[in-house]
Amino acid sequence: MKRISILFLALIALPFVSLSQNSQGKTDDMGRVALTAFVPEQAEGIPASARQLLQGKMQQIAVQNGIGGSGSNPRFFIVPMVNVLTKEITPTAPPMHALTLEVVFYIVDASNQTIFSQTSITVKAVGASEDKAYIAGLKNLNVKAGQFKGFVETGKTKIMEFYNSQCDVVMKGAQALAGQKKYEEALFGLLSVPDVCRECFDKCMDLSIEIYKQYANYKCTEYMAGAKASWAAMNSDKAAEFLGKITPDMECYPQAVQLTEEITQKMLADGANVWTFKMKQYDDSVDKEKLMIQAGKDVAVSWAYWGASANFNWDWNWLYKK
Amino acid sequence: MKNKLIYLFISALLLVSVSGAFSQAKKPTIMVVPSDVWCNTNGYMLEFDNQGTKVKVPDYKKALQENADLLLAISKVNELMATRGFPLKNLESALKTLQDQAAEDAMLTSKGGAEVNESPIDKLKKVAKADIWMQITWTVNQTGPKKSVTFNLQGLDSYTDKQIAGASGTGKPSFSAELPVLLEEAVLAHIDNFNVQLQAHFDDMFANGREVILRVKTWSSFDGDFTTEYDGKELTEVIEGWITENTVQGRFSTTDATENMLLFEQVRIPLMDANNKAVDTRGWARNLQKMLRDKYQLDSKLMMKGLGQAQLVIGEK
Repeated sequence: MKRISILFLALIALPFVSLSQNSQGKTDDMGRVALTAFVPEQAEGIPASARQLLQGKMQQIAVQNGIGGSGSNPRFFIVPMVNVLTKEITPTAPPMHALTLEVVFYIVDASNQTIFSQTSITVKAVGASEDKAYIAGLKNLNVKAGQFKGFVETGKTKIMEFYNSQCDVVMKGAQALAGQKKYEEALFGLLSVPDVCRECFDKCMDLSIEIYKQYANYKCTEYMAGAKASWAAMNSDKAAEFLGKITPDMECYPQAVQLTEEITQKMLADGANVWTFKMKQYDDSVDKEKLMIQAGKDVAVSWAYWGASANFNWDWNWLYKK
Repeated sequence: MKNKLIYLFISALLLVSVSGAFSQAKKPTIMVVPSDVWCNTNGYMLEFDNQGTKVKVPDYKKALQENADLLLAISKVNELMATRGFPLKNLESALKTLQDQAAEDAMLTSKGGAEVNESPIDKLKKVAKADIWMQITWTVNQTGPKKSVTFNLQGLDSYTDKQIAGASGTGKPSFSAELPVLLEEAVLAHIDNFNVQLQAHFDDMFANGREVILRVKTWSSFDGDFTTEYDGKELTEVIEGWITENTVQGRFSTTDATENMLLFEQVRIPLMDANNKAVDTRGWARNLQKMLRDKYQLDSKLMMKGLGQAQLVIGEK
C-alpha cells in the first residue's frame, strides 16, 4: 500500500518536474568560440568592391555554423583566398567577363601562423566588368552549403585543442607581458580563452584577477600622482577627475580618500562650499571578484578595439606568399 | 500566246506566294557596328589582362559617344537600308536598353522580397544581339591636297560566321569635300551593291532553308556518351539520323564529333514547319529534344543564341 502511494505521488509530481525544466536549447558549448572574418590585404586579385561582400559571406558562414564572430578577438580568423581558374572576355557589346573562381576558406591562428581547417568552393561569375563579375559570383556563394559545417566544426575543435594543450604557454605569455607592464595585452590574451575550455578558462580567469590588480595598482599610482599635481596647482576639478578614476579595489584607495579629505577641508576653510566630490564606494553585497573580471574584460576589449590595427597587424605573407 | 499568258500568270502567283511566305518567316535582325580595325585605329579599344595574355575588345560605347563621324556613317547606312526595306537595329539604343534592363533587373523584387533568377549564362547573354552584323570600316586617304575615303562594308552572319554580303571601294578624290560628305558619298555608292547580295542571301535562305549551327554536349552527370548505343546505334548516329530527316534536302555537315560533343554546321533548317509556322533553331532543335526524351528517355537542356544557334546538353534539364 505504501509502495503504491509513493508511486502515485511520483506520477503526480512528474509533470511538474518536467515543466520546471527550461525548454530552451542550451547554447552549444563549442558555440562560444569566437572567430573573426577578415580579408587581408595580401589576398590579391579580389577587387576592393568585392572585399566587403566576401567578408560578410564569411561572417555568415561562421555565424550559421554556430561560431560567434567577434571583432575583438582577432587571433583566430576565417580568411579567403580566391584563385581564378578560367577567365574569358567576350568580344561583344558590352564585353562580358566570365570567370570561374575557386574560393578557398581557411580557419587560421594568425599568431601561430597555423591553418586549422580549409575548404574550397567553385563559383561561376559573369559581369560587364571584372569587379561586377566578382560581385555577381560572390553574391551567389551559398553559405548554407553542407561543406561549411564540417569546415567550421574542424576549426572549432582545433581552437579548443589549442587552448587545452597550450594553456601554460598562454598564461606564461600573459605573465611576461604583465612583467613588461603591458597589462592590457596580457588581460586580452587571458580573457580570449573560450569558456568551453573549462580548466584553462578557470586558470586564466584567476590569473586575470591577479594581473588586473597589478594593472589597477599601476594605474592608481598614476592617478594619484595626477591628482596630487593638480591639487598642488590648486586645480580641484582636475584633481577630482583623477581621484574619480580610483576605485576601492585599488591599493592606493586609502591615500586617495585621505587626499579627498584634505582637499575638502581646505576648500571649506577657504569658504568654498561647492566641492561636492565623493570617492567611489562599493556596496558590501558586490562580488568583487566578478567585478574585477568584468573590469579586466573592459580593459582588454578597449585595448583591442582602439589599438586593433596597431595591435593586430598580423603578417599574412605566410599564407599568401608561399 | 495563250500559253505565254498562263505562264506569266503562274509566275506572278508564285512570286506573290513566295514573298508572302517570306514575310511570315522569322526575319533576321541586322545591326551596323564599326569594325575592330576601325576601333583599333581610332583608339576605341578596351584592353584586359586575361591570365597573362593581353586581350583587346572594341569599346563601342565610347566610340559612339565620342566619334561624330561614326554616328554619321551608321545613321546614313541605317537610313538607306530602311528605305530599301531592311529596317536595322541601332547599336547605341541597344546598348542603352541593355544598361536600363540591367538596372531594372537589379531593382526588381516580388512582394515577398524575391529577386529575379539569373544564372551566369543568363548574364552572359545580356549583350547586343543581331543575326547579321554589318561591319563598317573607312579610312581617309590624303594624296597631296586631295582627300578620298576607302570604304568597306561587310555583312556577317553571326551564327555561321560567313560573309553574306560585302561592298568596298575608294571614292573619288576631292579637293574641297569635308569628311562627312565623302563618307555619305561612299555609303551611297556601295549600299545598293551590298543590298543585292543581302537579298540574294535571303532568297537562298528561303529556297534552301536557314543555315544554322547546332551543338550537342553532355552534362558530367550523364551516364554515357555519344558512343553509347541505343537500339543498336550509337547516340551520334541517332542524332545524325534525326538531323538528316529534318533538314532541307538533308543538308548539314558534322564538323566535330567526340564522345562528349558534336558540332553540326551548315545545317539547313526549313523556315516553316509542316503547319506553316515560322521556325527558328530553338523550335527546330526542340523536336530533337522531344525525340530523345520520348524514344530514349534522355533528358536534355536546350539553349539558344539568336535565330541561328542552338545548344542541346544531354543528361538532365
